[in-house]
Amino acid sequence: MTSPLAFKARLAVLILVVVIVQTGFGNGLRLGGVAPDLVLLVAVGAGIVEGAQSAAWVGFWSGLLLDCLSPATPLGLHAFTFCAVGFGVGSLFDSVIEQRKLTVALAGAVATGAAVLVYVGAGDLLGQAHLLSAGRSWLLRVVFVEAAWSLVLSVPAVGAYRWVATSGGWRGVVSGGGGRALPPSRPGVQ
Amino acid sequence: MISHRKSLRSRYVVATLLLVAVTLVALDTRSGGGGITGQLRNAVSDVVSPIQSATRDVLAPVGDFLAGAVDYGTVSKENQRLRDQVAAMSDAAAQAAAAEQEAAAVLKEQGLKFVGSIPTRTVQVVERSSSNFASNLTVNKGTSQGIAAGEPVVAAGGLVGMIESAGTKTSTVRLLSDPSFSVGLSLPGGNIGSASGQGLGRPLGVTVDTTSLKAPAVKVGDVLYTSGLSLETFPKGIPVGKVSSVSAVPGSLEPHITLTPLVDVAQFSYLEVMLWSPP
Repeated sequence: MTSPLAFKARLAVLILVVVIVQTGFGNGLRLGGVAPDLVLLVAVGAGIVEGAQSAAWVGFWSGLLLDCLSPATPLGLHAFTFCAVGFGVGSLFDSVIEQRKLTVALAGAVATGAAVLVYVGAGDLLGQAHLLSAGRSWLLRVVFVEAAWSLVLSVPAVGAYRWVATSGGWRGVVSGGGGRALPPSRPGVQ
Repeated sequence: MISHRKSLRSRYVVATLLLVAVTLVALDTRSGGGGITGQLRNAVSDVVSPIQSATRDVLAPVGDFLAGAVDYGTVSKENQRLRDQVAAMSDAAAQAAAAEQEAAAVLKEQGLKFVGSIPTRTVQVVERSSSNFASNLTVNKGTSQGIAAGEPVVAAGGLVGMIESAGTKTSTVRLLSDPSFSVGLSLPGGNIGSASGQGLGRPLGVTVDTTSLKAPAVKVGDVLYTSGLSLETFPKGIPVGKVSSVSAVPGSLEPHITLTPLVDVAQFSYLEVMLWSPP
């Protein structure tokens, strides 16, 4: 399992597993009534491990699969959100932020909060006004509690993504270009 | 130079992907959840639902443990409430929940009189996939068993929601609590209104659409029913919720009303789909 194709297959399996775990388990795991967003963390992991372009692809496909299983919102909204946020995280780690456990955890939390706002804001612009109908207090609660979930889950999620990205021996990017080459070891991040 | 080209290419890629996503949103919105995007969703749902169900069965104990650890006080109170409720139930009703046919019989005996002569189909909940902004669940029957989008879903006590989309073998139910859900209500004194979802675990908000000369005399504890007016998506007389609060709004004749749904969906594994569509 060393080819780019094998890597993409592993990644597809990872996305499928995470989406199923999110919809079959994660959505029932509520803290203050708010569930974690495990699928977004795959895109965040791609951004941190592989770079902006790969994160955009991973975010798009994982979001699209999640959209297929979320009939209450239109197809493409999660894809849009995860693609944009994954790209943003990847861009920051490409150029500005150094990879450490703390920065990974904080990036996951901030990206999650931003993703909630992008999701609701883009949805509102695209005719999904009901996303805001639960009120601002609920929106703020979702932003902060989801971010808290991600603060805890980002490091293991990035570790899992790194394991998938490197376990076959091939170190590459989803799209075949545009990502960063993985260093042999990354002190500070699992 | 190479880095600049890579960066430029990345931007083109992300711009294209975002454009595709927005196009999909527009297509799906325009087709009202039907069309190609609806078919894609139903196909994916049909394939993935059994895996989701198995995942939930395997991971449910872990989730219960974590939920209990995080929110022990509420769980204890809920546990006591459920114990009291179970004690009040008849043995026959408890035993009947074991099988689908028996469950259907229990549901009918326990208060589905409002269904009247409308035929129903018993469905089993296979997935509770509500997100932070949407409340829905998946049931184990679809178009091949005669289920169609738009049909009301009820349980003992009253309205649960409506069929959002129907695949071949499974269907998705939009719950009352979903912020996009709205149902017409009959209010006392010849008034009508509508109840809208405000998120999972939150009461429904009631809007008084028209008033007669007098504002609706609603009091806490009253049960409100579907109006069944023309253009409504539900038949008349289905219990929707119990009034949990009524408060005057300064400068308005209409009071601010909230409803607690009569059906706690978390307690039910079996629901009834009313095979009814608006005339």
